[in-house]
Amino acid sequence: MSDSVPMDPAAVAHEVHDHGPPKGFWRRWVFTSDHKIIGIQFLLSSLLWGLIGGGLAMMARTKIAFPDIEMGEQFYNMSFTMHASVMIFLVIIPALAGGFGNYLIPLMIGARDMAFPTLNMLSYWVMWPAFGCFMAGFFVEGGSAATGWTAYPPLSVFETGSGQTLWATGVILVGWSSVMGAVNYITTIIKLRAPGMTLFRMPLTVWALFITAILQLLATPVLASAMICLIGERELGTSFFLPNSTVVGDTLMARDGGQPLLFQHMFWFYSHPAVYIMILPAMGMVSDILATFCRKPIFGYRPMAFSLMAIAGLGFVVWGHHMFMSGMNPYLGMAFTISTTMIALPSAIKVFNWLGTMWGGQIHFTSANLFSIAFVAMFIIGGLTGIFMASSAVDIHIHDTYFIVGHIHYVLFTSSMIGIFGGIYYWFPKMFGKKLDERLGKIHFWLTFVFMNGVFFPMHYIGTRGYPRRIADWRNYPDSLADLAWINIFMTICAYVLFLSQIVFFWNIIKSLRKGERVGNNPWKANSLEWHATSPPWHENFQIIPTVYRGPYEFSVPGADEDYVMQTQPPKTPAAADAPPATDDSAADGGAGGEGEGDGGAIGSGGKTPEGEGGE
Amino acid sequence: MSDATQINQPDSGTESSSAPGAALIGFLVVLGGMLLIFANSTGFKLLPPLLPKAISTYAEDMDFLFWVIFWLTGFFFVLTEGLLIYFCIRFRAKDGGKAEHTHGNHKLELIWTFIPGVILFFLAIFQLGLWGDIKVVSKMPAEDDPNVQHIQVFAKQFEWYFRYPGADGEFGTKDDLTTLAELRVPVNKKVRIQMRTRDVLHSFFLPNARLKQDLLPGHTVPQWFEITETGKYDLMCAELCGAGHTRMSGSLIVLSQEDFDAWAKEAAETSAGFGGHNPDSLKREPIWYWWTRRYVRGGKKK
Repeated sequence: MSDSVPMDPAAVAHEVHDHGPPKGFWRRWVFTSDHKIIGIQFLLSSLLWGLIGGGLAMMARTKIAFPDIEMGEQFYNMSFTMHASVMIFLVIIPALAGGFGNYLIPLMIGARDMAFPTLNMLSYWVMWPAFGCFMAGFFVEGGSAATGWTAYPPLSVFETGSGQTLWATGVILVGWSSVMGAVNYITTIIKLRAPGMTLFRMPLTVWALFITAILQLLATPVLASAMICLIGERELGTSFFLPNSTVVGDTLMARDGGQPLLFQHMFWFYSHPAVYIMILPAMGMVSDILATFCRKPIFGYRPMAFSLMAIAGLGFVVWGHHMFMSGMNPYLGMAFTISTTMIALPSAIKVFNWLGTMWGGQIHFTSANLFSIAFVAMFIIGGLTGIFMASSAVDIHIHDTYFIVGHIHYVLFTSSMIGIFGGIYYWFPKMFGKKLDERLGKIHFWLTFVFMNGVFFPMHYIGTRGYPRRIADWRNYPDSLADLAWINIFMTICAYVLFLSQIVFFWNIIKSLRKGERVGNNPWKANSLEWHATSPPWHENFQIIPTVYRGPYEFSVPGADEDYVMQTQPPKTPAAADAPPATDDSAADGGAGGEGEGDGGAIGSGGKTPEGEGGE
Repeated sequence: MSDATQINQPDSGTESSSAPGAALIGFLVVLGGMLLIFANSTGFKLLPPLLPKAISTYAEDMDFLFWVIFWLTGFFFVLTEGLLIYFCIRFRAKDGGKAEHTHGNHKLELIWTFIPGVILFFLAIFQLGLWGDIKVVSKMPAEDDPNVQHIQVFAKQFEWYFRYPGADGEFGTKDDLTTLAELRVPVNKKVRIQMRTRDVLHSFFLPNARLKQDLLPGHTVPQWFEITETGKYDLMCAELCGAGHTRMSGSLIVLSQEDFDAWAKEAAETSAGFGGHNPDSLKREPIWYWWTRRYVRGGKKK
């Protein structure tokens, strides 16, 4: 076993020791360095923060639909600003990268824990001060940030009150958490893989989280510097973003030589990759869930991994499409149009491969799979509407209208959030040893599915009609918007129901934790390493670090005893291998070498293994 | 063998028929919607229009581009969602059924990389011309073109001001006209606007003319448009600019050349004033003063 793959010495040393979890409540359950507990902490707290973010959205939607209610315009601005900030920085990113990243990476690659467990603990615990900063805004004079989650200066500099500064501080803390997590994930994935776990035998979830971590590591510092400059503008009187002759009230500000576009460039240099940070892990998870419940290998494993890389790479050169109307040089807009349009290509490849995975499968409509299929269906809409926005000429009309609000919610709610739900239904048995109730899960799915489309789909229509986003009261534009008022009311009612539907989900979690159906190690009959561990896994995940013999998607292999072959299952001895156990008949290059591993043959340090490479 | 494919979930048998069925209904609704829109664009007006009334010279081109993208993406939408629903029904788990074992298909991957790639690249290149016509400064009417109506746009929280050069065609002279919130332009004449904001970002949005452009503090941003129909249309602020953002509305009033000239003559006396817009007239605050105001004298700045 030891000669099978180059291995990190530290992991070898780990193989022999087995001490239990730390004694004491606080060290074990609260300030823990166990990646599984940290992952669950991230997930549960982001779900709770999600309730706050959702509540803020309900307030904003109420004002939009019923502009007569007693709600100040500034409070409306605060509620949509904090809705977006909470949902992006405290829900989607922590749930996907923090929650699933922490929980799944070591389990899926066969490690005992993260490379830097203490750093991992810190990355969770700075989230609470960040949450505190965001929420404190509501209790200081002047209120919380109210300049949109994009916080464009000069407005974000001129807004009185400390809420905006607190907001920027909170964003820096979230970024700090992201960077600590990203360093950890990258190191863990590179150094701590189990023997035989080559890069191209990793589940796509791990690939997605790996690439997400690289994005976070490279992009987040730019956001942090933008936020530090913003705090300087607000609190120290610096002049990064303020040009000369800006006027507040009747005073000419004593600032010179700044450039508001600088902030937009810095902000979107992070925040566009952040969009991919918020969708890639969900794409990876959906790939795994779909393959398991279609009982089929993922279609085109390598194209899937390469398209993740392509999205991440292109993701760094498309930020300018947020700034088509900003007044930057129109020739720059042309370049960004081309790069932005082309980034739709790897996304399209992923969609086609998901469809290919479903083709010829045995599709089981479990709650987790319903959410995954919905992810694909909704991501198609989010991706296709992106093409409208990517075209700079059409964007002239739909920029900053509800069209973009619809687009972003189709990507972030109906895709990312749906992916998170799917992931929770899928890995809940691993986390707690009990299944979530399937019946409640399906009720939750259908309510969420129907009403989220009710909220977000009409946004495209009112957007193309020219309804600007962030408008509290449409009655200022009666000529253009009067006939859209009923659509607003419809969307708001759908939003209420969507919000209330989540009660089913929380009730399901509570009920299933108390008396859910107990399950074994591998309730879904999946292949990857986390299903090899006990449910819930032991303190250090695996009694003995497993050896990996094949890729993670060997479902319905012809001639195999069952319709799944776990990554840990050794191949049959070469002598008996007249019917190759785990090779793919369509992969011409996979047949011969695949058997070599059975007798512990060298796998070679190149990281290339023949098995599971079908489709190449 | 059969119990190997049966995932241990009690109700998989019932759900495998209801889930794809419901998805099919949803899909038919969406497909029906697409057909209605198609009917609309061919003349049978069953739905309200998807885009507001087009009134500028480049609005038609932009709407054409919009519909090109709409039908291209619509085709792929119906194709992919249709396949998804079909697969959900056709390949739902059956007792004793066995899934295909395939890791992919190289030829298919090439096909569905190449075809969308070509379409997307074509789209990106195809739309550049229109974008350039609207936004590239060298393609706009010249700053000193006498056949063009020149207007300066000034924005502040939360008002639009417009300045016309008056009879002498020069800005900054005594006969300049200024209006508040009402942008009056002659029909069928090119209009070149120079936009400035004195405080925060605003965005000049004429939905009917298909024009949007952010105003940048410290910069003068030029734009142009030519309106082809008289009437009164909305001017919106499309960039969040503070508490009163929602109230920062204006109107675009398109007049015939004669009406426009008559209005200009009449308004020459009753100009709305300049609203303190000339930055030179304001007192410049030294930075130490800002510091004391921020930190010593109670932190209020209003």
